[in-house]
Amino acid sequence: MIDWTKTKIVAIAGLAGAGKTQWLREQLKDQTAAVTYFAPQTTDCPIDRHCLALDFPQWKFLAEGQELQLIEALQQGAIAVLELGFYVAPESGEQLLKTLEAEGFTCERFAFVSDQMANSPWHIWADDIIEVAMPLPSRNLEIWRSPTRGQVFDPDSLNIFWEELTGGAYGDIQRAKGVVEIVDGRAFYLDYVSHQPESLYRELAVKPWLDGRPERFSGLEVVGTKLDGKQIADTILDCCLNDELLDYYQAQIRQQIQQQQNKEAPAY
Amino acid sequence: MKLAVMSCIHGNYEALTTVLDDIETHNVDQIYCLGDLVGYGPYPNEVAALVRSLDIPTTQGCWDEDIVDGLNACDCSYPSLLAEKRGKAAHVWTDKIIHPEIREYLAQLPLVIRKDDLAFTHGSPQSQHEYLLPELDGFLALERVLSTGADVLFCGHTHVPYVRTLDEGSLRFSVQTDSGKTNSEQEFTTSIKRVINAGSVGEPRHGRPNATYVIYDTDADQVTLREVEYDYKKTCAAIIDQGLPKIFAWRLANGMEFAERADDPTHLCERGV
Amino acid sequence: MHWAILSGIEGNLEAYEAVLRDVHKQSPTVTDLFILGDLIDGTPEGNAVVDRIRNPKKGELMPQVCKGAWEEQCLIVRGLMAEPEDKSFIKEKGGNMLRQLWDNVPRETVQWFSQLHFGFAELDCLLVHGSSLGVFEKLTPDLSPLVLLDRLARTGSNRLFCGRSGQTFKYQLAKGKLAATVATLDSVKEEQNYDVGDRLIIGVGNVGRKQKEATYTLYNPETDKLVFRTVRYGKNTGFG
Repeated sequence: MIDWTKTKIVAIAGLAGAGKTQWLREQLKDQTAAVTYFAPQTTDCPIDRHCLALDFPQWKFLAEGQELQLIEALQQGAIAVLELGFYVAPESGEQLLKTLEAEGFTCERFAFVSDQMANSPWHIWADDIIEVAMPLPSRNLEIWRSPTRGQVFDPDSLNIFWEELTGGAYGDIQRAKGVVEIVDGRAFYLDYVSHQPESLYRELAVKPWLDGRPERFSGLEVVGTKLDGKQIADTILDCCLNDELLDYYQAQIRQQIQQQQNKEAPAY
Repeated sequence: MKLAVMSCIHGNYEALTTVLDDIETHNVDQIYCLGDLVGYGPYPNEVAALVRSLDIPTTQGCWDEDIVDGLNACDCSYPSLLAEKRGKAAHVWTDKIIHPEIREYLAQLPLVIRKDDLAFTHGSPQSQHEYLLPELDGFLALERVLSTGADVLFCGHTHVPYVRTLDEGSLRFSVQTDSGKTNSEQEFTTSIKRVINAGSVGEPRHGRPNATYVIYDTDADQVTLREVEYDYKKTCAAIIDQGLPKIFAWRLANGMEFAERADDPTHLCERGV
Repeated sequence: MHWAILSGIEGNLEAYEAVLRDVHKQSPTVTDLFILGDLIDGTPEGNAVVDRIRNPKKGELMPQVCKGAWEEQCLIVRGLMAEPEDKSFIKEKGGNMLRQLWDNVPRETVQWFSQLHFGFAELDCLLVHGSSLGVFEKLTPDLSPLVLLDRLARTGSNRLFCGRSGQTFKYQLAKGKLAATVATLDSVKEEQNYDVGDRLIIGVGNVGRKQKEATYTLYNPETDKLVFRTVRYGKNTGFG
């Protein structure tokens, strides 16, 4: 348990798919103080950040270059969360953490590692080690990421693609996650970890988007080896609706909603 | 008399020759083929030429029809956008590579073959595109068999082999016409019928990459579902060599169909089935 | 709820007017008026019927219309739909009607036809012109009960209303039983049992084809009560 009377900064790092973000949710779900979330080396595809922002709308999210605001928030009594992706060397966040500690903010470093891992840069870096029953990660891990803002999936196609992706059709996958839009206007969070039998599908608490291309974040991130990025990207495009189809289905769905409201009998 | 019935070869030459070798070891008197010689796989010409050269009575499958008449399936027969894109890519590739004399051969294939009390068809007697799945309502399956006038109906198209025995069925009905009189109740009964699905030689979908077909002994009324290993890696390599979508090779090696099939057996669209 | 279901006006405005009068005097009041296609018959007279149907008078029900064989054939002639495999309609009416449809049906009407539904699925009822397979299929009571059951079961409905035959009939499938077994590569034998009970296939009659006599159907989906109406109209002349 974190002693929030002392700890003001929580820094987390570790393996992909080890459950860092989920752990964070658990730790902070009842937190009453203001929370500021900071992830250095953020990308154009911040899936976790997007989902956390939906779950914790009152949190403040900062990215690289906004370190001063982070210090200000701490000075005003906020709790800071520093999440270092598995692709970020733990020591790269150290300069910032040391500076903050020098200002008198206590920091606790958590590392998520495999229980089969005896030593790693994370072991050296962390104050607390959280061991997860998962296989050792492959060498030469690659990351494939793509924002898909505006793209809307046909759900049946998405199912096929996800089954193929996690089944190894586009490389050996260790982790895949994404935020996707589907044609009925809903958005989902998808999460696959190779050491777990099933993918997680979670509907996101967003308003159904039934009028044109959704103007909000969506994207996919795949971690593994021998990734065929081009084939992944091509297949995603084949799963998504063109303007004409999107207009057609959205109009149908709007009409159905209207009909339900008017309690008219359905016709086909 | 011993029959071998095979279906859905889909340009997979390696699977076809292995199945023909297996049939050879079973002293079969006659081979039948239920179509889909082409589509998805890398050797459509070679497969069709071999079936033709062996004089195997063959019905026309939906893929054979599409190569002859142009893509004619209604959009709703594709279960997903992705399956549609892949199906169309495979169609365009096959259409480009197919030889004129093979196209002519496919064009003249019949939809249904009748032989004694047996009938052979690709999907169902109603349509090459209809799936007779083993869970289709028994009365509907019975209607398909009876519409051919046969006792045993051989079909393919679903890519998963099965034998379905429909025991004596009965149906009571009455008719009232405008005269207002109700005719007394009548009863309609049938004897035992069978639907035998031959599975797929070249594009299996039962979860393993092996080819499937059936052997039917007409005297003993005995059906044997055959599952035959073949060198699917050769076919996978040829798929990639020929420039067909790589994902077809992966799906074949995993015992999955190249593109997902529609799974509504009584699918209704405005064009009819 | 009280439905009036008609089909096959076939350009006969007088017959349609007579049926409308009969519909509007029913008690309990008719709540829904379904027209299961064949508004026209290729003659110029069809246009007046289409116009009458699309523009009901004040206080009249707005008809819910689906496509019939004539409307679909009209779309085929204009290249808006693919040729059917079932050529029975052209055979029955003769090739000349293609020209008639082209000449006599205005473009705007064709446009309206193209937007008509194939049928209606209301509660457990399916209302179509031909059958669930298409507008050209003619369902009659002398077909095999299995064929009729198939057309009904493939849509999951219990009541099928159709108009292609022009006949009024009520075909009741009272009780059916069938046992089956399935063997696959991975399972030895699975038993299956099927029961059918109480399904109806209903021919709703024809409004316009027979001079001076129209038939149509009243149905109450709540009580399942079915009535065939015969409407005689026009004056008999002479001693006929």
